[in-house]
Amino acid sequence: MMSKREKGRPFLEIFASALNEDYRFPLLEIFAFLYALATFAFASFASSAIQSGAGQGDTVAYTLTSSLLGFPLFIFVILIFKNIAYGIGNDIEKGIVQTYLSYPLKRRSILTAKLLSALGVGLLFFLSIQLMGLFSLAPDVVGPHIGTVLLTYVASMSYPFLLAGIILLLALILRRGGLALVVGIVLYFAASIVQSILMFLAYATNSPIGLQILSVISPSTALARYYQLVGLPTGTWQPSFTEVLLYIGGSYVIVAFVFALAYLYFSRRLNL
Amino acid sequence: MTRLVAVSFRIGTILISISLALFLVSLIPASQGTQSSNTISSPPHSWQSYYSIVLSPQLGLHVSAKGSGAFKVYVLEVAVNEIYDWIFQHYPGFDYSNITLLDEFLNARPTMIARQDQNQNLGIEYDFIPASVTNATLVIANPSIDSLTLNLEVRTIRPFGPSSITLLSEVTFVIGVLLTLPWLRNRLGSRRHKKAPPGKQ
Repeated sequence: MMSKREKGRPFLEIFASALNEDYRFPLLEIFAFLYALATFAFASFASSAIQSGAGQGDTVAYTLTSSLLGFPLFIFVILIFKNIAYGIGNDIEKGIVQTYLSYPLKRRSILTAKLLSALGVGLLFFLSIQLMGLFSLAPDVVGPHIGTVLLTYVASMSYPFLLAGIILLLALILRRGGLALVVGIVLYFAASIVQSILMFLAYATNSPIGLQILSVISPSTALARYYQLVGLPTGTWQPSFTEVLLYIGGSYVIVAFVFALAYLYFSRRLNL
Repeated sequence: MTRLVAVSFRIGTILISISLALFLVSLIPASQGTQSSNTISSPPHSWQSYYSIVLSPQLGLHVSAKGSGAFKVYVLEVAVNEIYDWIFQHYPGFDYSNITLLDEFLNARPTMIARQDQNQNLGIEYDFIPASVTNATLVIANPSIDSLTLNLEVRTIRPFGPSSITLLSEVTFVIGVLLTLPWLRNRLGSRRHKKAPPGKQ
């Protein structure tokens, strides 16, 4: 019988190898530079007088956090897309995964080790720099409203995670990292265009249905409406806090479903 | 040990790249924010709200007002609609712009007054930075029996200047360099080792 420590060694070996591949020198340094530059350069404290049901501190914390999320989130998305599409897609293409399969590990553990490096470390790195920026720019805004700050991150991360799951699934099915990466980037930009169209429709027709559908996959829309920061006439649609939480929960259920599909495909269907 | 040195080197280079980014940010001049500059006329014995915004210790207000007669400038820690709601609730049917109603509101909620200034001959000019996040409404009041004309300039300011970012950049840089030193020492040591003639190793 293998001890727990011995079982963990192959997992760590795959994880270390994935880390080495995903974050080669000076890739992490370039991303750190871009995260820090964008985080500090785009911070905005401006917020018009508070009209929403949320407290004023919460609204300012939300405005500040979402102002930091724009460009750095895009960089984060590029990093995780690259890690998943190239890290996993290319490993399948080059037959490296076949070597991993000879390790005394379950298939799902191999995928977990790869995702931990591609997504987990990238996320940890992104959040560390963002929170360092928030705490050094406005400790008295962020400290008392850390719940709002974290909720903003949770709501904003759901859509990139969903795309990451789709890219993972595509990379596994197509066995080609490059194509999956292109599809992911196209989907990311398509969502921005669809969001603008739905916003326009909500404004023109005074109907919130489009925004509500969008909020299921991108709950940051519902959160922005909760704080009334999406430029729509007052009274168009303002979800309650519970509804916002439901949208966030719903979006993560979809994310979990896509990742579960990818795990299932990798464990049972992927023939190498 | 080698792995620890390699990890320390990567953390060091990451910190150096963060410090370079912060140094670049510190070169960007502090933003002046939104600006509003107007000439307004104030009827006798009246008040009006001029500007309403959410302020924080990181976002202050610069106020500059010049006018012919006696006037007062208030910064109230309240949203503008709360003032009107209070007046409409307590004095329904009254002319809300009457200065007496503003005084009544201020008497009822004196803690809302964050700053109050009366015009001297030179006018009024100051920076207001609140201690915490707050709604702020700039109110102009004309207590005299004459109309007056005011030149009012209001803009948001960011007191978080480049100096604090520079400090953060310097600290990050020093820590980053210190963390890369063991790796550099190992690297130099191994080079010397290679270059030395066989007998002197």
